[in-house]
Amino acid sequence: MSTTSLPTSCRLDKNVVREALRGLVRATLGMPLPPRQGTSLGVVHALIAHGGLLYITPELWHLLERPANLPIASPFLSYLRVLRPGRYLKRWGRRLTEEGFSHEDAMILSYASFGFDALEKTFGVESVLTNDLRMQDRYVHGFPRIEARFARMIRQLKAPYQQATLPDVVNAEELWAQIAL
Amino acid sequence: MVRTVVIRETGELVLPRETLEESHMVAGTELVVMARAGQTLLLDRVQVRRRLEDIGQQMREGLRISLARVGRDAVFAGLSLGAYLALSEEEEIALWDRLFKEAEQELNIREHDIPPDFVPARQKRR
Repeated sequence: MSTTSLPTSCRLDKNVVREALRGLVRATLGMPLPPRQGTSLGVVHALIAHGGLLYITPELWHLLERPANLPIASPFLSYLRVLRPGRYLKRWGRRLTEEGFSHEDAMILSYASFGFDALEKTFGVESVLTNDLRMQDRYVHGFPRIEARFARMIRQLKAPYQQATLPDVVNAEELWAQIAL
Repeated sequence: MVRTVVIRETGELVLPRETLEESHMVAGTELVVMARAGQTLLLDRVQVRRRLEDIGQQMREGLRISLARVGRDAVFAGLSLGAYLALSEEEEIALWDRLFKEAEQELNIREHDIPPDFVPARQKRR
């Protein structure tokens, strides 16, 4: 038996959404897509086709659903879900900023552990999808420290928080290569 | 036709010959398993590709309708379609950073307790 593993739950960072949206506009108008826009849009389509759940934060949802942005964002929004902020989101975000992540990157990663989906009755996600190679690099190289710190934090928490997990951080290009239908 | 199959202790799933014939699957066909709350789907690569094309088509069609509705009006952040497409990457990043900051300030994010029966998405998959 051969298995190819694609994330079934993915948290999209705002740059992936930005690139995918712009790619969607260009594709709709029959314009050629620059590589990153094509990859971001292709990965989003492929994850949905594979039954993946694509999450964004309430802040990004709020941005997209503003009336001024809806003409372009509305066809996209129906495929996305919101991760709600669970307890300890901010605490873990602060710890991550101490590891050198910007506030925004720290919150991206923290939502991927402590954001929840009431419909699926789950919290956290399997993967964070980003185009930010620097953030991914910092996460991958710092992972042993981050993992140890995370383990120390959740050990002291009650259920279900002590089961919380860290996400994988993948960039759209490597996921696109993996999907290669 | 609805048929029932049983998963063996080894985890193998044996599909009846009729099901294989109806679905045009043969030994060695690679299937994508989509397990979600409420349903589990087995799709071959052709079906996944078709789904992918359908999703792209639906999004483009949705956007086409949406753009036709607004006509020459603004389509994003007060910009016309032409002005939006003319943004350089740096300008677009700066615009999104500003919009995101505004959204953060407008929303007062409050943490909520996660019910004890919720499980990590990663664990649910196993």
